[in-house]
Amino acid sequence: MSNTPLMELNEEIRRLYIAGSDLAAGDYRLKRLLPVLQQMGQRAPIFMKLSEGVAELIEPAANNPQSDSAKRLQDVNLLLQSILRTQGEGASEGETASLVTNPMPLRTFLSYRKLSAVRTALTTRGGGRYEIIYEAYQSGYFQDLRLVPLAIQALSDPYTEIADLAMDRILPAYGPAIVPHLLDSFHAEGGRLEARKLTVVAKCGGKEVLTAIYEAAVSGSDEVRTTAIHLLAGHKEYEEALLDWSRDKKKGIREAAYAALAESGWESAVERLYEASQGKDSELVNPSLSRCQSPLLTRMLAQDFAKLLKSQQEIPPLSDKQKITDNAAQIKRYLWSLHLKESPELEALYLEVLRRYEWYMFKLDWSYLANEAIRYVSRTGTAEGRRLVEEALELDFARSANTVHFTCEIFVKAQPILSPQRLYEVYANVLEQGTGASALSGSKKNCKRLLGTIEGLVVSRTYKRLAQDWARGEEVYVYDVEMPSPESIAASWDSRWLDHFILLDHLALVSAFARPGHEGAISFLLDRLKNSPEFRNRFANLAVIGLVRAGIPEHDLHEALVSAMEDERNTECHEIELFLFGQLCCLPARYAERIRAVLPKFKGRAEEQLTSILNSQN
Amino acid sequence: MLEITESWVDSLAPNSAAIKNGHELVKKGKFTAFHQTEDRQVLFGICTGSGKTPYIPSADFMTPGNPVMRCTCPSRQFPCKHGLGLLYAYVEGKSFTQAGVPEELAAKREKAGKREEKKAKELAGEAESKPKKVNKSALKKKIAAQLEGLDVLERLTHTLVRRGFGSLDSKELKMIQEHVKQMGSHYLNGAQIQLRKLQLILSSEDKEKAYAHAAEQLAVIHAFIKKGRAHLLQKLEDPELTMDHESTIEEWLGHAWQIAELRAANLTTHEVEMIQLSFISYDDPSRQEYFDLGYWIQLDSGEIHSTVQYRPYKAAKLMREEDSFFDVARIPQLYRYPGDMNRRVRYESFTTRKIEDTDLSGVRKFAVNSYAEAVKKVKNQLKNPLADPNPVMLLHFEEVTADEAGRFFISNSRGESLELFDLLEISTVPLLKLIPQDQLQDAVMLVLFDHHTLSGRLRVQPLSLLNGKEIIRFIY
Repeated sequence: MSNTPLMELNEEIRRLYIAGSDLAAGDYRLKRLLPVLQQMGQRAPIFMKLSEGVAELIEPAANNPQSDSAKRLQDVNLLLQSILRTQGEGASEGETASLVTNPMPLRTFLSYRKLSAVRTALTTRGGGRYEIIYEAYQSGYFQDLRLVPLAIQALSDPYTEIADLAMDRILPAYGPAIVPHLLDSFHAEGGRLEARKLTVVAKCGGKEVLTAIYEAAVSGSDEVRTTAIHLLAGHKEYEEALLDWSRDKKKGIREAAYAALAESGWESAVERLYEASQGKDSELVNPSLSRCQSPLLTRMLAQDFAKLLKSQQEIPPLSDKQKITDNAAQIKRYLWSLHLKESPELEALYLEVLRRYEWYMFKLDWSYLANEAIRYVSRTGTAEGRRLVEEALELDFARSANTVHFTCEIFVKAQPILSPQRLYEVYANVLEQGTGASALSGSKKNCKRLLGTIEGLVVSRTYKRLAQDWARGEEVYVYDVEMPSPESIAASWDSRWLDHFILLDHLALVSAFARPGHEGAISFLLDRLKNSPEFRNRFANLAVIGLVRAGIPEHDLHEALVSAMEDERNTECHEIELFLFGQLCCLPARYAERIRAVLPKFKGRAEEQLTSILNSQN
Repeated sequence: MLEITESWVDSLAPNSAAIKNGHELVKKGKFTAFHQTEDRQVLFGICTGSGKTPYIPSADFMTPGNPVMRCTCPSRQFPCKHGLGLLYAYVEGKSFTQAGVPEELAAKREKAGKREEKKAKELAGEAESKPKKVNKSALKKKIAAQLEGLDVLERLTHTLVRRGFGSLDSKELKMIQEHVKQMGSHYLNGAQIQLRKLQLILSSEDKEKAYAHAAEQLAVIHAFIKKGRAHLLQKLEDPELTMDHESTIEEWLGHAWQIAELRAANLTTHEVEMIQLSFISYDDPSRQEYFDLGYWIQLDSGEIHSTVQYRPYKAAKLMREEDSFFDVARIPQLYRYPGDMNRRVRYESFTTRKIEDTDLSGVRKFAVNSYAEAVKKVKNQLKNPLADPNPVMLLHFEEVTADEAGRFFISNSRGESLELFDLLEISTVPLLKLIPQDQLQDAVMLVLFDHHTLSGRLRVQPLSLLNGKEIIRFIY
């Protein structure tokens, strides 16, 4: 039975609900439907009832007031809805074919409580989602079939970190099986999302996806094209195409092609890059020049660079300001593209720069060039080079004495080059003058700056994720203080520094420079540990590092550690720092009782750490 | 030896955080001792916490399958993480040494034992001698108030219908809201929910869609008024004022069935085994509650039941969140609610066992082969506006097909087919594309029916897929 009249009636009823039931009386559209309904009524009593209801709605009986129109409409509607619900069709109408699937070898194993949190994180917006998704990834939840479509969707998450996580880790973990699902929904003319899909496809698929990538590079939107071009890097069969794209009208496409060529490193690529560096794209191609490791390119660029410098020497000093500025810009480009590369041409060039150090450094004020020359030459380390570098540094010292520059940049520059003795001799004066000077004096400030510079060179403080035994091998964020090994300090620093640091009461540097046999350092550090025994502060850890470097006898160290733990000021510690904890772990079992006694003072992770020590002692 | 599994312990936990924390306690070695009594009825342990003295969590299996969890910690969560940790440790196979029950716990057990005895006595005595006394005059008053409420509701809907949705403004919406409150004082919780639903529909942004929904919703309210009134009037005439144990009308009128009532109405089945086929949880703003819904199959009869838990917004944090359940639940007494397909069921205690291949092959046999028959049954339910509009059935299918428009169908050997469509918020149809082809042939699917009035389509959403070896759950 056709239910079109019923659907039409439903439509009209809805119209009356919108307009108000009072308008039903005399409604001509209902009137038009009535005969059909009555005809249907001949066949089944239920339709008869319906047509009667509709008739009543159009022409209310004389004894029924207008105000009953709502009831009449409701009655008809109720009946109609019930009838309609028995008329639903669910079968297919046209041709169908077996569904062809691209199976993923996954199961559905997660329970609601586990899955729903991840689902919510992946389908909503707002903060705190990254952690949930990352944790789910780590726990292998994405191996549940139901998360696959959501993982693909995550590529378009507005929170880039999540999109990146999906692109770099979650989706590639599915391997080649994910490729058809990504290509299925891939639209080359789309934006960022499609570019991300393509990246995953390239990562997971083998040679067979290259055609798809190539097509995207030809016909996609700009964003998709640039990504696709990048992805074709290194594939020889697309060499011609990449070279063609490097001559494209669009800047973005050329840039992507340059990058892909640089990565490929073919001879043709080098020639093309070099050619581009000569023309109007010299700015655009520069990052690619820098990325390309081809020695051929390095040689060609170094030769041009040398030529440019030579021409600079020929210009009458400082006569043509504009020319100098132009050249400076070009020189920066060369420096950038040749950074961290080596070749005989480059060495000769930088030696030449050093020979004319004063000219470049002070007259032209091209410190970037002069400093790069020092860096390069001191790394290659020929005898002549060494001499030139040292001379250059002496010039620096003379020029910058008593300036901020002298205690900061120049020191950093000089430290790896000069002999430890010479460095000390140049700078010891600063510390001497600072010792005992008033806090506001210039010499004290100079001295402080120098200490800061040295600390920056020998002490590094970082937060990192490390697997910890006390956390049952799980990775946790820890604060870590690192210093060069005592041997390396002894080799590259003068031994006289340490006494200055003690006099100047600089804990971190005393710790870093402390060496066996230096009693002063041990007693200084023990004192500091005694005065600030709180494990919650950074001092305790530093002092203990120093004590161990100074080779304090084990027994003394253990006593000092346990005394510090027992000190009544040592409270509110939530986490014991890495090195300090390492030393505590070495405490012999006889200290167990004393540790147990102080355990209640320690909170959170610190408590877990101490508990793990106690457990391991048992 | 107690037969407990990890998923069973999971099912005791109030939420996923408690599961995690319980596991952590064991992993971190916070438990310093595990004990069990000689008769193996009580497990207890000693667990260090943030307080000075360690906590003593215990699990008392006086009634197997329904342990009494106790702990000396101050947590309001029940059971607390310590109790869960204790059970996880047991499941993991940690060694539990024999020991006597601590004094404090022994005293509590004794009291509880007496309480149980008393309850059992009362229950037995009550069932035999005196049926629960109903205060008839109060009940009559309540019915009168409900009838009055239905009149109020009818007046409101008529006003709205005469006025027309097109000219409704915020004032009318507010009026509906006030009526929602009024329905509460007329003991018509069902009306409250339906009216709130209407209000939510009418205040939605997409007006075209909203009007279609609102017309359907008004039909539901109209049916509710008519049936409710008829039922209440009939009840008033009945000197015993008996409840209707067959249809869902009592629930619509706001009655919450109690187990004792279900027992009295003989709606109990004994010794039942059930497997959960699917689990759904969603937020129902018209009820102001979260809604945990499980679909289960009874292994001997093949009936598909539902378990329902409402978690009101206000109490959601303190209530136990249901979870997917992966074992066979063995239920000594299953109580069935009045209703049609997928009757709501409840139970007070259960034990578990692992699902075996024979269980699954048994379940497959219950799948309906003829779609015409299935559709007939569904339509028979759908024509009643007060019935559940989304019945669930287990259907056998020969293969999954797709047409040119990209619509998916299941089809059987008789050449019948049914369109697959995402009806719930969680999309499941696209997942079929990830399933190996051989598993989409001659298999069984749990589907949820829905009739879409505007298009006149009766469609189904896949909830789970049963192949020979496992249940692939598309939702939860």
